[in-house]
Amino acid sequence: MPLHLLHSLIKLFLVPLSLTLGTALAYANVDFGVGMTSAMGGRQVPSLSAAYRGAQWEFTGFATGVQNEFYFHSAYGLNGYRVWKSGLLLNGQVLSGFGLGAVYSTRGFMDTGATTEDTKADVALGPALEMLWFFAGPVYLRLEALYGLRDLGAHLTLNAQDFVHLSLGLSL
Amino acid sequence: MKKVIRWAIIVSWLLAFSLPASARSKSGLHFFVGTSNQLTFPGTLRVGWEDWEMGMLHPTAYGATKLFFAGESLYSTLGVAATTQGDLGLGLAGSIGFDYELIWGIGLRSELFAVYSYNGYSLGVGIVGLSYDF
Repeated sequence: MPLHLLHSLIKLFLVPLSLTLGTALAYANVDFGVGMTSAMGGRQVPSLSAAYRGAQWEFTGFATGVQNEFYFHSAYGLNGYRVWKSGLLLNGQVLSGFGLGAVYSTRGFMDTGATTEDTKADVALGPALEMLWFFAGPVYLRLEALYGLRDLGAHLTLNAQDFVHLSLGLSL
Repeated sequence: MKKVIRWAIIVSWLLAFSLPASARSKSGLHFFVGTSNQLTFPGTLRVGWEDWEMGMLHPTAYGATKLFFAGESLYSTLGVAATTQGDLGLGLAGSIGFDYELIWGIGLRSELFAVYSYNGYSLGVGIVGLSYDF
């Protein structure tokens, strides 16, 4: 990942996070989970995810990857949401969130007999949503979607560079 | 026709941030029909009762979701869906959007929709259409 991009992402997410930490929060939670993401192109590669949630704001992130002797594929995501309690679904609390997110994905492939590796990276930035369902006490299912901004024409036909992440986890 | 739909999409999102919202909540029977990615029509076809709705959430996802209104028009949904792209799968579906009543029970409704199935299929698209409350 280019250093300036990493720097920008850190500023984008850590600055709002530090502002949130400085406010009087009614409560705060840290979540840890495992899941899968569409950033892996439909392959069911496990991802690790974590989240920090204040009274009104939440920040989530995930990392996933796979590697063998022929190729590698990694993806990382960060999201910041304004969250609110929505109600109950089957007696489990549902939280909704809307905000901004970023996904960085990189992959490489080395063909048989080749001496160099073909690599490619994708970055997506755009609006993001989450639906968080505590279906069994502190155990949750989290559905997140990032709608990467790229081409206005595509957005007007209701398309976006979509990255969806589903995770199962525990809120501490 | 596509130009008309594109302008409708632009106007609907402008309305979402400019018009004062009218008091709104779902009660009784309601419908939602709309277009989705690539301006597919119908891109969604749902029938609802109070806080629940079911049907074709998207041409690749059929299921039932619960509606959660936050304030006057903003809402989110969460539920289960059977995805039909490739192998049949079961997944979690959710969305966030707005539903403005225009006139005579007809509402302008738009949402960002997402679904993730256990078989690896996923989708995140926009949906725009009209709702009708009986």
